[in-house]
Amino acid sequence: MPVAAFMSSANQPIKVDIWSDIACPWCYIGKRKFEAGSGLFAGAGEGRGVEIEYHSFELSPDTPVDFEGNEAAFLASHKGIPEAQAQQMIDRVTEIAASVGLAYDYDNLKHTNTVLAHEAIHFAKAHGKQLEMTERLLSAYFLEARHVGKVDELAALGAEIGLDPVALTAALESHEFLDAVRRDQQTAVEYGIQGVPFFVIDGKYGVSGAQEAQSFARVLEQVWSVRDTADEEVSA
Amino acid sequence: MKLVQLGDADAAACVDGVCEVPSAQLDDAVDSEQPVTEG
Repeated sequence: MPVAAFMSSANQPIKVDIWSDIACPWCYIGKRKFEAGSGLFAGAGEGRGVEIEYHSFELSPDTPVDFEGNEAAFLASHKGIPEAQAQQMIDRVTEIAASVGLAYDYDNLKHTNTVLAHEAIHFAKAHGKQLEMTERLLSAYFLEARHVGKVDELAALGAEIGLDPVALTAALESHEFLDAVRRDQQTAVEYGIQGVPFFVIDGKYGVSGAQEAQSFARVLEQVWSVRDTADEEVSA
Repeated sequence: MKLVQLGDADAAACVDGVCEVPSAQLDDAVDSEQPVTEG
């Protein structure tokens, strides 16, 4: 029997793989709620940790880099609903974002294709800064009305968190990390992920959507309590 | 790679490029509106 089989996972951090898109308001809201939930979980006992890894998901890969029109126009055309109804949805999401401390600026938001942003996040991951880059890009897109679909803007944003803008520019221009983005998307298909945010815990449990912090904490607690019991499954 | 689903099945997510508010939350929003009092 291999040595690893004797090792207990009880004191290992819980691994959470998160599929999300930059242009996804629920992903940023869900990020805040997950952070709060994992904080509740970690604070409830000794030796608890959560290791997070982000993965790429493109909600709307056919979006042009320079989309003409505002978010309500995009949502209306995508969903086939009146623009006023789309605006109502946006207003409500903005309200919910505010409740977790995020001041979404939909009036100035620059809707764009996000594949290059995902490549930038993979570059950051290769340099140990994936979490910082994910937060930086979500903030840039939803709060600061920055354009996250262009190489020069992404390089500038990367520089703000300590990445080398010249190396990042070269990686984006050569699409060095496009294969990594596509692998994430393929894994999402294999998991049956159809919407984001989507959380995969310890490679075994799936949680969809921007759950409440308490729900995330409860799920982590469930997984923590049974992770050493190979044949036991947690129930929703 | 079948995952065991946990959590609230109706939690908000973006699907197929559309990020809408779940109907329950829209209902909540409508319910929370106070009627206008005239006079």
